[in-house]
Amino acid sequence: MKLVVIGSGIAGIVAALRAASLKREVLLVSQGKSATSRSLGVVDVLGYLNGEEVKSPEEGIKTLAETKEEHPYSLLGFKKVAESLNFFKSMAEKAGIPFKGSIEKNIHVATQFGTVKPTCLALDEVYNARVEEWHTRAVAIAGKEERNFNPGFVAASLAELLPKLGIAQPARISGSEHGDLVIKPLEQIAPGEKAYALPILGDGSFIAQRLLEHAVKLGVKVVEDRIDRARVEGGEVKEVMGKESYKGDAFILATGDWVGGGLSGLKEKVFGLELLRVEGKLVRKTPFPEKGHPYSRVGVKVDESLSPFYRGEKISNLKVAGALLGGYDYCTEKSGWGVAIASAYVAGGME
Amino acid sequence: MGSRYEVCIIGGGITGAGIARDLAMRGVDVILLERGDLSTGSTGRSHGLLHSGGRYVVTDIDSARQCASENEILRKVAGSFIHATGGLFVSLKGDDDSYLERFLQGCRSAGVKASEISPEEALKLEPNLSSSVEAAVEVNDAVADPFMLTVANAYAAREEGAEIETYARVVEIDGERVGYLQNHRRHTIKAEVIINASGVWAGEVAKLAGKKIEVKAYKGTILVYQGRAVQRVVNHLRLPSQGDILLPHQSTTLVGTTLMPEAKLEKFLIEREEVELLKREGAAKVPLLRKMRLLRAYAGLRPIVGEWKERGYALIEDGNFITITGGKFTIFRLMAERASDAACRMLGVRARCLTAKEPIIEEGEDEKLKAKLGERTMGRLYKKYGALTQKLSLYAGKKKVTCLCEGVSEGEVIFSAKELFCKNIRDIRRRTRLGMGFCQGRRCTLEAALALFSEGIISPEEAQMQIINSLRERWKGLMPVMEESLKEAKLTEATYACAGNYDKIKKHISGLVSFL
Repeated sequence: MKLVVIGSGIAGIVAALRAASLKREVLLVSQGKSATSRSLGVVDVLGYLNGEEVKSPEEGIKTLAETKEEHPYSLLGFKKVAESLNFFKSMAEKAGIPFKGSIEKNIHVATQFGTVKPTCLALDEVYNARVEEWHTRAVAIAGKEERNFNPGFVAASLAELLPKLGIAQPARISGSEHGDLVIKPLEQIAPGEKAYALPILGDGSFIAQRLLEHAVKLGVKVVEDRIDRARVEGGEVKEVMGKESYKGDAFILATGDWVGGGLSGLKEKVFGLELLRVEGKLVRKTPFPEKGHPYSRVGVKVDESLSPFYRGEKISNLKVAGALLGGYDYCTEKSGWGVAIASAYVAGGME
Repeated sequence: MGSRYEVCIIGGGITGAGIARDLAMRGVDVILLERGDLSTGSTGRSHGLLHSGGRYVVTDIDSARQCASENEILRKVAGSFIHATGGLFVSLKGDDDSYLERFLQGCRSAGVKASEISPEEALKLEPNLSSSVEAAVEVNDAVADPFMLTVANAYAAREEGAEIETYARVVEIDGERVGYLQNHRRHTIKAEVIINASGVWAGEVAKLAGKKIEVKAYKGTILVYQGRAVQRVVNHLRLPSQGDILLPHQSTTLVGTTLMPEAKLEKFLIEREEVELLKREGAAKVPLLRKMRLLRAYAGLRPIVGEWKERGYALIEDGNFITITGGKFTIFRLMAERASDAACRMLGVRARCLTAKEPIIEEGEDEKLKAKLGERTMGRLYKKYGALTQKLSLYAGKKKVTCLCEGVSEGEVIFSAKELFCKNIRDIRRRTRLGMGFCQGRRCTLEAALALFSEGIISPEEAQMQIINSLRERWKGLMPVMEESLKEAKLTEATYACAGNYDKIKKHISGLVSFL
């Protein structure tokens, strides 16, 4: 079976990895920059549910299955989500960028914004710098100032914020090079230096790159093209077209939301697939409402096997993965890479 | 701070700032109280057009005359803050062609310089104009940055000894006593004369003094497109209506304006229909707009005394309380002069107005600064800060780029924060254009907060509050054009909420609720 994956963000790459590890012939069509390349590169699985912090993604996903049936996790089921994370960890390990963490328990990481956020899996260097480890220790946020990163600011903000959050009480947080736990941006860690890392926007780019290199090792072919249309006949995709045309037996669409370019306005760009929509206003009046914006529900509507619909009909040899899916809100839930990985794993494993 | 003044001006729009400078130059001891940042009322929400007068020649000849003469004066005294783009009035297929004659006659009797040119010539001047242009008249329109012109007036006023207080909300006026709130503290001062220059809020301020003044507010909405579709102001040659005007403003094109009576002075909304009307009217004159990125929409309120067609100003004297309102941006200097004359009469001050002759900020280029920054950077700064660029020299070493879209350096951010009456990032945006480009603040808001933090200007908590408040302000501008802006909106949310967790953390950042 020949599989064509459209999109080279984390969802596209994981789908290609899964299919390749099942010995399928995979062609991955990349348009270059993805939303993944702007991300922190940590695997958020489920940080919040209905505005409440989730201690265990496992429990959260199980609760979610009962309350939000259109959520991708609910469609996929907990078991598949857990499997997919293990698959991701094994692939990352083989790609030389081991991730740590467990679906049973979230961790908190510090950010360049001077805040902390819950996440689930992270690169070893980031995982080991998790805020839970800061308790009673002298933490130093180090490294040289760069665009949008100032160690002194991160340290000073966290010194004010942490006591209010009750996650851990460090003995001291400073923006210096000295402490029991010295944390700096991954990029600034010298080769061979044993260090802890603060995730920085853009780290997702190098992680995706390493995973993609591993996919190529497994036999995935990668081409650069911007797919903008497709030929669908008898409820099946026959080929997708950009500058060139690509035929296959099955297709995975992982083009992202507006950020990645999979959506334009209220339209799916390649096929014009059916979307989950919102009635009324797309956004609330403030940029970061706790409950999120209505527009986050917007995305492609799929069945349990992740097949989308076109003019009321299911397209059976097409699966959708990642942020293009509707029915969930990665910004407020903190579930971006989790949904991407789980849906890509299932899509890439299609028969 | 002394607590006795000769004059207290309420309102820091262009009129209030103009009065502060005018009076300070006459040696009057003056304080200006502005409840927010300078130019945050109607001034900053206008399009910054310096009218040739053409707009009013058929409906309001007095306004047309005033515009024509003030346009001339401002070019002389504030040349560096004004972009002498020139302007065109154009009529399109289907417009009433008898208007042209009335217009030209009106221009002649009002002293508005106007010369008719052929549609071909108009297209040569503005190649993006619609090919359905049927008549065209060249006029002397110009464009000013309303924020910077206000700041320049306030800066000059301060140099002459005026005190300028922003985020100072007047809550009490009793005879000579004025009480105001600033930083959650109550202050009281005394002033022999009080000048109410609060624009659409003039009625509310008058009420504090126990006086009754009726000001109507008419909302005007403006669209901002990325890039310059026109090099000069393009007006619709017809009876004043909605969607009549396009103008180049820095790196953007503005399309204005709607005209609607508005009952609310705060939190009024921009309707989607207004956006559609402006999109349609703009594209009818310049079809290229259909392909350009619509960045945001904003709206302001015109203060109008009497009928909406009359755009003249009103000067009302009542005891020691002077109200100056109505009017328009172009004639702010004249309004300031008349209000200052009235105040001086009350005070028995004989000094004459100097603002029609003296430049607001002494022009001239700093050769040392030019050598340090290079001709190109200097030129770019001059376009934004006019003659105030010279004052930037102390900060010129900080060349790191803070805002990539608009090319704003860290030095400009610090300069604005320290010298140009800024209290937060939103204020800095009004001076520097930080966050006004295509990403609407996503890439530079954190960076700007870090720059202020590094300089010791704000604490980390203040930095956090400023980031959130600043992005909130940008969001308001995106909302009316959300369908066109989903990518930027989602990316902003993904950056600050998903990665930064601000949606959940903001409640822990103390003081957020009480921020100014």
